Amino acid sequence: MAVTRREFLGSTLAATAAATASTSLLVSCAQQQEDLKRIDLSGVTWKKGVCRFCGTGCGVLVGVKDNRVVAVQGDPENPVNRGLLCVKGYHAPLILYGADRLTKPLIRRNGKLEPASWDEALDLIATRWKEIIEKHGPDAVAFYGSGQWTIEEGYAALKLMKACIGTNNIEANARLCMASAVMGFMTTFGSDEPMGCYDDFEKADVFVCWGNNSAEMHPVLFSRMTMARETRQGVRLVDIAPRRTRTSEVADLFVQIRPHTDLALANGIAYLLVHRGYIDREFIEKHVVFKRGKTDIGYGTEDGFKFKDQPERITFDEYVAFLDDYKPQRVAELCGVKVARIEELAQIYGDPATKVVSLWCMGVNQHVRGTWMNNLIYNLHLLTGKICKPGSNPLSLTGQPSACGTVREVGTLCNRLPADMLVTNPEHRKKAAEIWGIPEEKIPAKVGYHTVEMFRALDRGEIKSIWIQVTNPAQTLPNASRYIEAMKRPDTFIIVSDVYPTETTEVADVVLPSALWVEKTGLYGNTERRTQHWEKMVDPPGEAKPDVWQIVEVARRMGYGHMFDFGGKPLEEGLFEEYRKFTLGTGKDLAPYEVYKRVRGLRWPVVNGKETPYRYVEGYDPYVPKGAGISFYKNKKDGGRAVIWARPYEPPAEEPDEEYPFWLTTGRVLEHWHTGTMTRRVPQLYRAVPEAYCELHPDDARELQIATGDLVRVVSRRGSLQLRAKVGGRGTPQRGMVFIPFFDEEKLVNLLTLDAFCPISKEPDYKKCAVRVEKVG
Amino acid sequence: MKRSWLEWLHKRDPRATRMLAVVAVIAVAVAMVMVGCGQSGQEEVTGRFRADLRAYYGAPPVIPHPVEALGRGNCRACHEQGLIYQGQVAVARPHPYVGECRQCHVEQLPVEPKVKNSFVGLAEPERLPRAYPGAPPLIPHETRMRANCTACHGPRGHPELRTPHPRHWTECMQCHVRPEPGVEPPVVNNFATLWEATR
Ligand code: SF4
Repeated sequence: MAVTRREFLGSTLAATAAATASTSLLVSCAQQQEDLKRIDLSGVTWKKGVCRFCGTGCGVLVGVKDNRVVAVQGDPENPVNRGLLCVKGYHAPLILYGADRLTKPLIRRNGKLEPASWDEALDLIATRWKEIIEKHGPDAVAFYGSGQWTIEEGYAALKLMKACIGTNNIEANARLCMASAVMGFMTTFGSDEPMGCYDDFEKADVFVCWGNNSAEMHPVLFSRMTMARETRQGVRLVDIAPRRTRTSEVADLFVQIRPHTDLALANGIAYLLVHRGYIDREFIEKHVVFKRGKTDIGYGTEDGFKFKDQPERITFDEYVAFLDDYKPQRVAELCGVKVARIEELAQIYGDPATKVVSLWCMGVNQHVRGTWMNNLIYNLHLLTGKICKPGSNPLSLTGQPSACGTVREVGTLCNRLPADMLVTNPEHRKKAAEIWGIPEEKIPAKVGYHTVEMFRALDRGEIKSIWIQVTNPAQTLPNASRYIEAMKRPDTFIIVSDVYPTETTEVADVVLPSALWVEKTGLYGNTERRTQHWEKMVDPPGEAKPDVWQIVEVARRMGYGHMFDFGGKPLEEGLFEEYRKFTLGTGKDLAPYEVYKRVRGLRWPVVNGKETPYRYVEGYDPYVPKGAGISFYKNKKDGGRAVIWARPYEPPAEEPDEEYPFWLTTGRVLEHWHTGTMTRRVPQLYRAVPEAYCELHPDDARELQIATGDLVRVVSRRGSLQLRAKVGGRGTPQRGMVFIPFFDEEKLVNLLTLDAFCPISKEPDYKKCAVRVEKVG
Repeated sequence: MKRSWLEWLHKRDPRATRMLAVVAVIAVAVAMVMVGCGQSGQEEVTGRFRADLRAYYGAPPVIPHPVEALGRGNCRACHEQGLIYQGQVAVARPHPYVGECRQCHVEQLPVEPKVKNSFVGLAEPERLPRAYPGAPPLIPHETRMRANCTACHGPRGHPELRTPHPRHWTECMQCHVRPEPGVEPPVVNNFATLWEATR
């Protein structure tokens, strides 16, 4: 008994364990009391909104009293979550009330950020940008936004850069999380975003998670899976991952693979599907073509890296011959799993009676072959015809609340225009120019800098100024020290709009205080193509202003006021209605603004007031011709067919060796959102996970004589970091691998990570680099 | 333990291993509560304390004890049926199973955030007046996520919330109802005044 108790306490970090030992098992009331101020129920109004955090897109009812948010409820009428939230969603009201909210514009003078008026700050930005553009051209300025931008904010920024200033230098942090998903969709289906939707959670027989710890990252969707298992016979959950997580603990089958070998595993499953007669020939003949692209495509670790794929058609037989490299024995060795496991997976995908939903997010996307890995998962569904069927679909989960709605649909990326259009396509530029009422030549055909290259260009001096909104790149860019130094330099002019001080505001020249969540009106678009609206409910603190207002005010001062004049309509509505024009008739159609005010979101395409739960499927998707059954109509260049890609296994950019013997993988924890800017200011969430730690496998810990709570130094070729070790916590990495979450600004794990990226999507690989672990003292 | 009979069992029937884990953890949890209470004295956990575990009325309570070392299954060990030991109450789960308890309920380490937070949360609702003395009390709180009344009001609920008539606990809602918040009846009812007058 005594041992149990000791182990119990040993589980909390050493720094805090000492404090616990003398107190009761229960948290002392006095400590809690301090956070508790209460207001009575009378006069509280409830309005519908969307959770501020993850891409699940849960509906909330926000309780407001006296111009303050006092509570939220899960919205029982919202089909996404039907009244349930996760701990972050429930504590969202508290993110508004951290004591150090930014409430006044700040300008750096003599090295110090000092309060200034809005006029001063906005005039300064407009003047500096005009100067820079005059001297160095429009490509010397850049915008770096976010998948947490509202749709209107993203659209305003896109219009400022591409239509007014005339540069494609606009990117968003979704490049760091969803770019591989986008390129996976574009290369396989010719259009971004899923065919399936959340309805599949109640219809599937097996859920296969590929490198996705949804128990922590998409908790409400995870509940829908576990509830499906509780309520229906034979429902199973499979977890394929290198690290044992809460998802693995709940899964019926956990397949622990070596890092990066998912490429081989997917091809290995495809090999078995083909050779065991598990494929759906009729589906393949009607709906699929086969292709291969370049191989040995590099990692982008050098400045100015360029890559262009060369797709070529191959026959089915050629594809089968390609799979010969992925015979079960070889795959088993590469992945470190038993052959029987691969067979089990092949059977799940292959059995015509089993409805399968594959789910993935950062494990697959933050991958130096992320686009390939997306392609390979689609292959499994296309080979077996388990796609575009309610209950059987691949579902690419999105991380941020509007990575889909804003970044991917609006197209706030260096190569894109709204609704799947590309700056390199003259037709697309023409359409955009028409809607914007500008000459076609104004929109440059040259692709801008993608995120990593954008910050490299800042370092090289090609970009002079970046305006950063709703994101914190000084904490999230891989190999961050180079880019932090670049932002600090006096010859770079960094503008940051945010709600709290961050690592990035630290290095900014101008800081603009922003309105947060329900302090402004907005629309978010989630994983399942659902566009959801909320109205402003409370005033922002002090002089804080919505990001969209900031963009338009700078535009006005640069002489582009007329581009944002919507004839007296509220700005948000005017922007959305204009953006909507891009979507109509494209299969990505959005509803009129007014409609979103009333409904609990709608899944696009919305045609004649009807949403589309399943894309490409007759009877659901109005764009599918009668009698076609299924049509990948957006992939015109392949005759409305989807593509099965021959994509090989290629090694990662960096692998453990003698000097750096461990894999380092990074990620989130349930309680914290991204860099912790908001959630670390919520006492309940802060106390749940106060600091970043280094998770080790128990055998590695024993070998290194490291125990939970010990101080360790983790060193990579790029930097080093000291933090506490954790063994046997909520996750257990496999042997030879450590995990560090990235939320903690006092322990910047991205000083260690490598800025290698997928050559096709340009998304960095935060999941794999080599480190060594030393015990300190 | 190497992969052995456990894995074999899991393959045959995954639910059996899950049950096994629950049983194993019950033993550990009971032991811990015993040890824990030994140190913390025998105070009764009050209603005030319960409210203090929430950021606001409607927020999921935080977990007032360490949990991480226990792994999966530990919550259900005490909170599936509810448990009282030496005055400490582990209430049963009042809402349907959602898969992962810790997606809403999180452990709290005894550390203070660096930044203060000035959030003011909604208070728990007050009790509602009865129609007359002896009339069944009305339900003052939301019933969503609280469908299992006996979790709190049954014999293993918190002392001050326990029903005085546990034998009829099967259909609570046949006598106790939840008035729709903010709705006033269109017609005034004078019963209460008449009742007062007759006394
Ligand atoms: S699952 Fe995501 S959207 Fe839902 S409440 Fe949690 S963080 Fe918010």
